[in-house]
Amino acid sequence: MEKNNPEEFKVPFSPLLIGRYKMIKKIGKGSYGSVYKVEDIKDRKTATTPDSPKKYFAVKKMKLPANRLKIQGIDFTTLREINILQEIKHENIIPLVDVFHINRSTFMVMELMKSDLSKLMFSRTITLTIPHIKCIMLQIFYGLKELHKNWIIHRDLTPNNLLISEDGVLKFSDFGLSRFFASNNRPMTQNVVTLHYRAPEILFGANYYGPQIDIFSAGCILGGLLLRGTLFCGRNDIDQMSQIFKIMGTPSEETWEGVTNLPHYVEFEETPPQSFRILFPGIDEDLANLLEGLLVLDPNKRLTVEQCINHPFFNKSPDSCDPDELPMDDIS
Amino acid sequence: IQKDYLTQNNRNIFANNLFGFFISADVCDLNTLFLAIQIFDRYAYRSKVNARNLSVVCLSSFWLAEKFEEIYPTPVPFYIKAADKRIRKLDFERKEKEIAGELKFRINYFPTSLTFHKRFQMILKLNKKQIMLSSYI
Repeated sequence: MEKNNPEEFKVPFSPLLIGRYKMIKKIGKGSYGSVYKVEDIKDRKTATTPDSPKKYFAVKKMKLPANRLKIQGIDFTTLREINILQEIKHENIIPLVDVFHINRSTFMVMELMKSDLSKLMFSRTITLTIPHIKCIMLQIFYGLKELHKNWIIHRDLTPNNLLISEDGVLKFSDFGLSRFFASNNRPMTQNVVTLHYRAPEILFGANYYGPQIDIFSAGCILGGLLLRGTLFCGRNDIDQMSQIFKIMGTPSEETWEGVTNLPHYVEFEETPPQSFRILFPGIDEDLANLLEGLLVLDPNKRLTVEQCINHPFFNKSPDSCDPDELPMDDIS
Repeated sequence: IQKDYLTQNNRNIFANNLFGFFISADVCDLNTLFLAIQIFDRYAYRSKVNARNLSVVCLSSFWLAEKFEEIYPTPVPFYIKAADKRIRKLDFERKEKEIAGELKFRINYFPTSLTFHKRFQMILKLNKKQIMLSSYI
């Protein structure tokens, strides 16, 4: 009888998690599991005044691992995510407060965020000006710089994974696909990054790639911010590639050395590269230059994070706005 | 290791068995073995490990290390077969969570000795034979 009750089946744990976090409501759900809003009870008991503000956190309940490979216990992507989050402390990376285990699921306690970048990007009531875009992109690059400095590739950089706090500070989250690079020559998997933000070298099935794939995703986000939509919106791998090449031009041995040797290389109908100034009329030359630099097909010619931060686009007026000036009022 | 229950001898047996298991499990990275031994040591330092639960602790620490290092970890039935079916799957999974909780999920908090070894072999420019021999020290 109990199994038939859907409510009980969904929430197998008590509302008070390990005697400290009181569940309030479910906020979100994704491929990784579900996120709940919780209140920190322990903190309230120790507070001197009863009227002190309540502390809220977000608890991420990780899904049970897939049973296909007969690998049970703690999911290994969760293990890696926890390890990476514990190692990095940076303003633009979400801090991990606590980790615990109840029955068979792992819970990660993190800071509660107000919104994410995709809501800001696809909202029809908000206007984004150049200072706003500068502010968002700079924060993305600062976060990426910290990650790449610690030899980590994020591998899943999408607007959905960029959370925005109440002060407008952008924070990276969802490190389930991230990994360390450069230490060993182990081949890497190609099933990373959401399709619309995937770099061409992964689409061609390269076994070794570097932090440049994050830069390409950042380029897609910048394009999306200008377009207020998804820049390359392919239905499958081939469609995605043709959409990229329609704008960036078809790769050849001259423009991208060694492209024909990649495992899944397919020849496409030759198209010349288009200028971003035609695609986005009204943007200035430096912005077009930055976009072009981020979306270069050859990963070796793509800009590095350092080059992006020092790009003339960010030094020119109008200056980037402060994070708390980002338009957030219309998103709840 | 300062605990009463676990002697140096016990630990050596564990390391030997784990090495045998490492070869049979067809694991590709040597660092997995070193990480497993490190996890075991750190866990044994914090809580009681005795001869009775030695095999469970040793196999689950290897499992944790493997999950962290490998692309495809070895499935559970292989572990149970390796322990001659003397451990149950439930115990095995429970122990893994216990270890992870005890170490506060900090799996690769310290670099393993293999990392230092790799640095030194780069500096000293050792040949293949020397590398193979020196990794057993």
